[in-house]
Amino acid sequence: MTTLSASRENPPGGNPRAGNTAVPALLRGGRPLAGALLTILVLVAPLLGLNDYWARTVLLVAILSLQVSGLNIVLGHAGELAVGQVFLYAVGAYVTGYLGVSHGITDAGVIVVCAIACAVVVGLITGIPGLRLGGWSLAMLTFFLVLIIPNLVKVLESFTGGANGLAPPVPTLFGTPLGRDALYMLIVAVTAVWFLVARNLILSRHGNAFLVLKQSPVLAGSLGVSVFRLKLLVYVTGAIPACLAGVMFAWLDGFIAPETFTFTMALSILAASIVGGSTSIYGALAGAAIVQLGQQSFSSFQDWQLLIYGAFLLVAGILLADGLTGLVRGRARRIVRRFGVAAPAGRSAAPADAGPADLGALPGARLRTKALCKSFGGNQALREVTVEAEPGQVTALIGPNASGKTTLLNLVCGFYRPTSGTVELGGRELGGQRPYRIARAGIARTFQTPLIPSGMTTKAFVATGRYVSHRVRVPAAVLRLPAFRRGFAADDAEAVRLLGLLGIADVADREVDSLPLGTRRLVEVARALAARPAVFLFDEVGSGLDEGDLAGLERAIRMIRDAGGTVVLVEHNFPLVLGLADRIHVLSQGGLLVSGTPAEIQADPRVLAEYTGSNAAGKTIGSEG
Amino acid sequence: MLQVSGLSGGYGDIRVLWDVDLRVRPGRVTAVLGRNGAGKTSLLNAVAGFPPGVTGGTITFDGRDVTGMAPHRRVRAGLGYVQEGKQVFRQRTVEDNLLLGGFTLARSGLGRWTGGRKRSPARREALDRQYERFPMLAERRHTVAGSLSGGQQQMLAIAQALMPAPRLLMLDEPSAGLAPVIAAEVFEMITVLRADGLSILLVEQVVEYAMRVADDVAVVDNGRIAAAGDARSFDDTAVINEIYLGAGSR
Amino acid sequence: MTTIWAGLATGALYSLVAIGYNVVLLASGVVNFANAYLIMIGTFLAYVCLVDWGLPVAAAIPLTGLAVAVIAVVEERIAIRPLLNRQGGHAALITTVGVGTLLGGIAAKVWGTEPVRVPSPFSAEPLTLLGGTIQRNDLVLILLVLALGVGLHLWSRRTLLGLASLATAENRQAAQARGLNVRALGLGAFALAGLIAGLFAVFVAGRTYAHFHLGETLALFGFVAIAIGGSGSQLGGLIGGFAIGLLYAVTARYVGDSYPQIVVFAVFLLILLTRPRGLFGGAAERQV
Repeated sequence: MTTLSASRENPPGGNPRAGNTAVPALLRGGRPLAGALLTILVLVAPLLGLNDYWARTVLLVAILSLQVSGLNIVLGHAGELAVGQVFLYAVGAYVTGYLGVSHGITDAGVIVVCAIACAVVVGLITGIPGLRLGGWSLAMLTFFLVLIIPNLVKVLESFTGGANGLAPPVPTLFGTPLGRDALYMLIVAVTAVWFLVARNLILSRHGNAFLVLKQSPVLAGSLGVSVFRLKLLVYVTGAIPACLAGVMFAWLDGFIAPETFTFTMALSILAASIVGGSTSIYGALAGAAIVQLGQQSFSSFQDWQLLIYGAFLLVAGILLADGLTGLVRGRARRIVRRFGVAAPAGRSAAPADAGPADLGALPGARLRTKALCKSFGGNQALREVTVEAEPGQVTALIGPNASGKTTLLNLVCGFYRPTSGTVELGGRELGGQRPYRIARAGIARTFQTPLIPSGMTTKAFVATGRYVSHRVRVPAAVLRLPAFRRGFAADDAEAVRLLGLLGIADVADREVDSLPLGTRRLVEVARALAARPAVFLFDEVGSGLDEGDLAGLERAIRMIRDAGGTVVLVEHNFPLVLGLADRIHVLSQGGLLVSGTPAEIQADPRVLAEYTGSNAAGKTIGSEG
Repeated sequence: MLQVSGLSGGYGDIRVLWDVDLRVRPGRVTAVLGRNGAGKTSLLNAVAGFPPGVTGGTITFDGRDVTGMAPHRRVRAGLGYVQEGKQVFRQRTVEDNLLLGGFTLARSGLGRWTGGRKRSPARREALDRQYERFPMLAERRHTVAGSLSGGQQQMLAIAQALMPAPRLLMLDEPSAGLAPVIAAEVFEMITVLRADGLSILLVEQVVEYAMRVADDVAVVDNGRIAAAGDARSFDDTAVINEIYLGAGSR
Repeated sequence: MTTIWAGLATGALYSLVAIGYNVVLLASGVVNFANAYLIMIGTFLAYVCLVDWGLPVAAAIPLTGLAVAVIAVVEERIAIRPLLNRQGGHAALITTVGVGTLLGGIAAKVWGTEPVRVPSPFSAEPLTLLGGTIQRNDLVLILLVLALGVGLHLWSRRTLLGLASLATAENRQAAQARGLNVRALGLGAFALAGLIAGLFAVFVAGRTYAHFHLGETLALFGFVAIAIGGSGSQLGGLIGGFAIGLLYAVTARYVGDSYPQIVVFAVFLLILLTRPRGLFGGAAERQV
């Protein structure tokens, strides 16, 4: 259990996402201060009498932790296994060596910039093909990268020195060669800066978008996020620290030999990542420390390391999804649940009976499909469907099972490509575009089974709806510029306000995946609202809701309609539809059966026939409704 | 034949079945009615051994407790299941689909590893029987299942489930997505199967179709049995109002 | 021609790994990274049987096959089975890499890190064939792998169990509803993949020696073979493997010793970029 406490206490600032924290950790001052103090302490340790052995150990841990951090970003946040850090490590080292030996460039700043540029280039070259399929392809591709290092070193002998290696000169800063202590401080400082950057990136809306991406690419797409591009961003970002680690390593050892960059090293990084917890920011430090100290403390580690790493990956893969920190976090959450420690309610909860004025005007637009067809193999799922949904109206799409409702919805959202026909939004053709493009054009949707990520609060989840529409750029987030702080505060306030409009402001600070189904549906509606889209597609939004939730939902839908939004309900709950819809389209066997007002639909014998069978057509629906 | 007692179950934390009692008598058609999301499919899935996981109650089939049994063993015990949405193997031919339906008729031991698809006489007989019953499938035996029309796929799915000669056939929404003429054909087939003495548990949204063949009826709402009884004593109109238009619940 | 023979012999190794991947992939939807490591362990076990125990080849081959099949079954039980009910994620990726690493570690610990020569069942006298020379062992390897690939392809089309495997890959729940024991099928696939790895180990060792690092290269090249051939296609994997082998040999012969891996890597990138489903694979439409 020592490792547990290590991963919890060692990292400066601990894990800010732990438990059901109510206050946004990134706006709190205390922990970053502790982190800064710890960094300074490590930084000046040589002056306080840290001996050479331990100074070197600290640096090796720092260097390894940079590589692990690179892996964590990709594995923990994009959900992709990419083990090419060793390759980037080699790139960083050889860039340092090449610049120093062949061009006499020793300035640390120049080298770091060049290394980052190289990392980006390598990241793009390998990421673009690897991320097309992701999963196994990317894992294998990055393993392969590690495998070809010796060959590349040999082929590029004139740059790399081949098997003889390279000896980069002592680095300089502003023209002054760095001595032993100065180099120590530089490496510690670079590591600290990287972790600050990583923390700022992950504890931002971008980090939340990464989490969404990891758990549901479908949801990410319907938030307007290009899954591929975001994954590429994460992947390339993860390449940078690994490359920097290589630079530091070249400075520290003053010699680069191709034998350093092995498959085994890739495994040790993977092991360290999993020990420390791939989704945690500072877990990389803990994991790196454990692996590095393990390597140094046992003389026979070399002989046993494959066995250790192998056994470790096996056990960790089975037992822990998120590594040790995940285990701690999961247990903490369970304890919280068991003892009923409820999270404090939101501070700025809006009144539940807020009127339409609170929503502001929504930029509704007319959604229209024209002769839309879709067939799967020999099965025509949708034929020649022409329907319209007007702004400021609720349009319902009903029909029995397998009548084509979901197919139509998926066509509109871009998850399917139409076989023929068009989808237009405000006169603009959308058919056949990728889901994220359609989302950006102003179509938001909810899902029959709500797609809810884990590891974030409800208000953070609602705010992901604003990720594209109210964008805060990555540099602003990393540097914590005023734009970021403003954006963050606005996101939070808006999320809480929307939750308030739906009458569930009290769950704003709860972990979103701990909510019951009914509340999840309402949270999804809030998430859709946050993007302020033109069109809202609600897929079976009423199913599984109790009376109270249903009332809140009906009020929300009326509110959206009154604010000028275009609402499309795909629903089985006939009474709900009759009560809400301005216009109803009835689908049947992939075709449009009839369109009309609720009263017309109710009176139409064909509709009843469709639902109940042809012989019942004579009977009327009854007096209710 | 089939006795479900006090069945409760759910997907993880979300409970979908609450204390369900259901009985299918030999040689009769029992229809389960209810609005979408009422728990009809969950009920069939639980009986067939698929998620939702069962948290309480028992399922007895032919006097045998099958509650914790793996799905494939329930098929061997004589429980046939036609899932919702025409779940045939779309990339395989009609004949391959049927042969796979007769998987449990395979010889034991080595024969199954090496045996050709049609070597087993029992499977061959079953195949001929289905072709006789569904001449349309015989004509298209070498067609890839994915290119059949919806109605043909539904017939194939039923024929597939009939291959091992089950004693109880469960059908989930056999009319879904089919034109009325085709759906009528499917229900015609159900009548024929009942005449052959097969017990049937039918989940159907279209009350009219269900009432055409049902001997017994159970109405499911919110994961519970809301009403059950003999089909003759059921009033369609009341049922329609109750479960589809929610006259009772709202 | 000698180069082509060498390429085909190398390619046979990659095809063999690809076949093992496909067997498991079809039945349980997992890429078993450790598959190549099973072959690696097989080469050492063959060494133990032939040299340490002095068994005849006819006894060593089945014994190795059985032993590796057992290892594969154990792998399925500890590294795959516990993950079956968990959704998404790359847990199987990590655990199978773990098993592979573990096997590599065991090999290094037990038999050392130096390559070990396993006696070949055939004489070292090379054959001259179609204007090129080839080792007898290599020729046998090529023919056996070809036979295996084509045989498995036919088996999966012609036998009920092969058909069941294809059906399970297509629709797992529907397969269960038809009375297929998909778990047993998955376990059987691992056993079969292990058996194949073990049976072929003697011939693999005849070409490569037994070495604890053998698994890594084979694992990756075998995967590239699948990437070319399309996952789940036995014939595709067979062709992919031989294609890479030829590319490897030709590059090594005409460009230089350090280039083949880089060229194969470039081809891998190119395939992923242009035909991510493989040259023989079709596109699938995504559903929500």
